[in-house]
Formats: sequence, C-alpha cells, structure tokens
Amino acid sequence: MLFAKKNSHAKTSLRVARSGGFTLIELMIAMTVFMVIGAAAMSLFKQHAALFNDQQYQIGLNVSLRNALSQMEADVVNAGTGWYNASNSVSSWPIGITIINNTLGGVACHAAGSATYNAACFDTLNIIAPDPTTPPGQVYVAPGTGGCATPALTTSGAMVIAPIAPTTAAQLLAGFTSGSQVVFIHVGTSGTLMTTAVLTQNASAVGANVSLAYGATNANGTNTSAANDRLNLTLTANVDPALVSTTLTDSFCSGTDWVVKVAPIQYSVATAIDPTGPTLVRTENGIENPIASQIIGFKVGATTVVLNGGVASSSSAAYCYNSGSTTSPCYDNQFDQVRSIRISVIGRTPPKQYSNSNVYSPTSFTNSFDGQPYKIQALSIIVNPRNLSMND
Amino acid sequence: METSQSLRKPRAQRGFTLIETMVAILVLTIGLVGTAALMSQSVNMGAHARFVSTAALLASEKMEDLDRFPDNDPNLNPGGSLGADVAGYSDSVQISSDNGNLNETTTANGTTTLYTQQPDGTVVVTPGAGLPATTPDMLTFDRRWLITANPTVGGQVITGAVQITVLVTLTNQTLKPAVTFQTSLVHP
Repeated sequence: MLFAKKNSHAKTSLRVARSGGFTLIELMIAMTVFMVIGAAAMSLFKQHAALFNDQQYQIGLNVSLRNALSQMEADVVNAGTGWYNASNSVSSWPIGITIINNTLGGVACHAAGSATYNAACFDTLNIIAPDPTTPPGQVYVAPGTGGCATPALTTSGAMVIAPIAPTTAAQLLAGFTSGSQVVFIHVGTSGTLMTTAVLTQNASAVGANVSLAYGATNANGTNTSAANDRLNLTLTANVDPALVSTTLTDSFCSGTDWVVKVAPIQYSVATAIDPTGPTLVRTENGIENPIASQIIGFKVGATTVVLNGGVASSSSAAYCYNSGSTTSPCYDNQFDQVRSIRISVIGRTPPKQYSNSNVYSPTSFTNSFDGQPYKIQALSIIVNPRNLSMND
Repeated sequence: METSQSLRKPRAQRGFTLIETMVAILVLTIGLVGTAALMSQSVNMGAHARFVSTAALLASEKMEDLDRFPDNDPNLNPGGSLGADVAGYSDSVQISSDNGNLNETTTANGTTTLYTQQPDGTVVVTPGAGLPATTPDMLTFDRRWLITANPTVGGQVITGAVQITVLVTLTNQTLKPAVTFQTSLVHP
C-alpha cells in the first residue's frame, strides 16, 4: 500500500521536468575547471618534489661535511697532548700536527668530465700523540751513565731503551712492535730535539732492557724515505738556524732522553677502493673509519708563528698550502712553528635531477666543474691547536 | 520490483547545482594552494636552516682565525663595525654549487688575500685580490667583526682583554627572515 503510493509518486516525478543533476554542458564546464585546477596542482607537486629532494640532498651533504669538520676540530685541538707521563716526565713536545700537502691539482688528480679521483687531489693531516697504552722507554747507552759522552746514534738503526719504574720491560716489549712509528726525544740545553723512525722488528729483551731495531735516519736527524717517517715529521726538513734552534738530531743520551711510540690519527681521502666515491677516512691505530663520503676536496693550510729575535711574537698573515716550500708564508715542513690550521672540505651530492639555483628554479642542473648533475658544497674551519707554539 | 527501484532513483538523487559545484571547487582550490604554499615553505625552511648552519661555521672560523693572534697584535686593535664593512675588519666567502669553488678573502696585517679552493685539488692564493663576480649558484657570506678593548662581561670589566664579535650575513639570497649569525668571544 505504502509501496504502491511511492511507486506512483516516482512515476509522476519522472514525467515532470528534471529536478536536479547536470546537463552535459554543466558537466563539461565543471570537469574542465576541475582539470585545470588539478593539472596546476599536479605540476606544482612535481616541481616541489624535485626541489624538496634537491634540498634534502644538500642538507644531507651539509650535515656530513659539518660532522667531518667537527670530528677533525676535536682531534686537532687535542693535538700533541698526552706527552706527560705521570712519573716518567717527558719533556714538552712542540709538534702536534703534520700536514702533507699535495700540490699537483688539476689534470693530475682529476680528469675533466669524469667522476673519478686519485689521491693527488687531497692533502693528509696527521695528528700526533703518544700511544696511550705504551709507556716511553729511556735511552740506554752502556754502561747507562747519564750525559752524552757516547750518544746512541739513530743512523745505526738500533738502540737499547730501559724501562723506568713503574714501567716494566714487559710493557715495552708488548708496545714496541714491528711497524710502530717511534719518536726519539733529546732534551737538549736549548730545547727539545728529535727524530723519528719505524721499527722493523718487534722489540727484544736484552737483560733488563729492551732492544729496538728500526730504519736508520740520516746523520742530521732527517729521513729520506716516507716509509721510515710516515708522519712527515722530518722529511725534507731543512732547518734554518737563523729562524729557530735546530729541532732535529740523530744523537740521544742516557738519563734524559726518551723513545716514545706514536699513535697518530690520520685524516686522508681514500680513492683506492672506489675512485668514483672518494671517502674521507680517519685512521687511528691502523683502523680506518670512513667519516664522510663523496669528498672531492680536502685541503689543509697553516699559518706559522712570526719569530722576533727567536721569540714568537705574532702569527703569519696568510695560510700556506705547500708546507715543503721555503717561500713565505710557507714553512719548510717545520711543523713546530704551526700556529693555526685551516681545513677545507668540498663534497658533492648524489648525481640526481637538480634545480638550477639554491632556492627556486625548476630547470635542470649540470655543474660547470665536470658537467655532472650533482651539486657541490664546500666548508672550511680554522683550528688553533692550543698547545703549539707561543706558550699560550 | 526492479522497475520500481529504478523509478525511485531520480527523486532520491537530486544532483548539485552549478553554483554548489563551483563552491566545492573553490574550497578545493584553496586547499591545494595552501598545501603548495606549505611545501614551498618547507623547502625554503630547509634551505634557510642549511644557510644558517653554514653561517655559524664561517663565524666560528673567523673567530678562531682572529684568536690565533697574541695580545697586543695589530690585528686585534679595537675597531670595526657590525653595521658596515670596515676595511681590515670585514671579509667575504663565496660557496659555489656549480663550479664547486670555495672563495674566501681574509684580511690580516692590512692585506687582503683571496683563497680559491677548487674540487680538482688546486688551491690558488692571490694576495690583494677580491672575490670574483657572484653568480646565482653561489652563496655569498659577508663577515664583519668588531673588536672592543676592556669588554664588560657579566657586569665586570675585563681589563687588558679584547672582545671579538663576528657577524655573518648571507647577502645574495632573498630569504625571509634574513640569514645571519652572530657570535663573540673574549680574547684574554
């Protein structure tokens, strides 16, 4: 009954003119308007997705460069610390860092239009500190008297060191292993003199003392081969007596002088494994830790102290990027004069589709350095290793 | 039964009028425009954060650079301004995302030096030169520093010390708010 009524009502409404819905024209207009808006919205989304990725990659690169720099900063400000050993007081030591500048650049390190690199592009930064687990041994010249009547010469490639209590011979034997970089320190009357060598054998016991075998140094304390001086402490060092008192020597004495095993931290860029993915690595105790990938520039410059009548009075104005050069402001590898260092890293984003400016442009990007679709970012810091030079 | 159902439909489903549709589209448009603005803002904020982080690093770089000079060094003579570039108390840094160069001028002992670091491992040191022309891919940071003698810290005058205040501003990008970073230290 009710059903029948409804039914008849519906029939009625069908007969009457339409009471709702679109005409075809209305539908077309609505759809057109909607499509225009939709298309605009989609294109905006598309544009923003690229910009967003662009920013994400650049932010990622920025964070990775900053992390690498703060790690280096932390290590460099601590450079050269730890030379004082409770009861075995080792004299103050002026060298905290060494720098190996690669000055080739250009085609020698990076072929135009390619994404590959070789090691010639990059500098190496060594942060030098004594091995915290190996106590120093005192130079021992039979019969073990003090003074330097018969100094032990590092040109001989062999030296005996004595454990000074509480250090034991066993500790020296355990620490001075083959391949260790050691520094010989001579406490002279006009400052500390030194040289360095790499042990060729594990230390061996000689009575109560310990015998070391190492690569021989030159007669003036320099080293000719990087194999015997991996830290560039004495390589090519050409001491200028007018500038500083001599820092190198080959003669070491009982009673005052020490042999210290060095545990350096080294920053370098590894290209051997993957030349297309140069990686900044931090090497400590022979263990390599990658700290930033896609690093395409790593340079370390340094300023030195300005000496006035043998006294450090100021700092050189300019940074030197060729440590071995003798032309001012460079310093002929005399790292005891380093006042501050400037570390610059250049990194690249993953090769992706990038927009053309830093902020807002939809056109695609290829860089003018090597024509690849990645963006490049550089950052630099200056660090003053506080315990170097000038006694402040 | 089937017939009666299909007959019922026209009455139950009165469609939208054109006006109603237009209102709906308008609402949708406002929503989409809002979303787009949000996305654009998020991209700009990401860039802003990155630029400020770079500015902070460059400020601390300058501060360390000045801190390396000993007391009474001419490079720490009181002077400079944070409001304007003063010769000897300002320099600039350009970071290019295109050719990858890092250009930095520094001023010490009255001379300007331009350091250009390139991603092909070359460092070019040019005494007396200024920055190259700025291109849109570059970030150009202006650094100004102010050195004041005998600064007051926490209400106490520190005689014989100098205070170094460094202000870094990104000058070639029109971002709101402007990218600046200021920091200072007391050099005993």
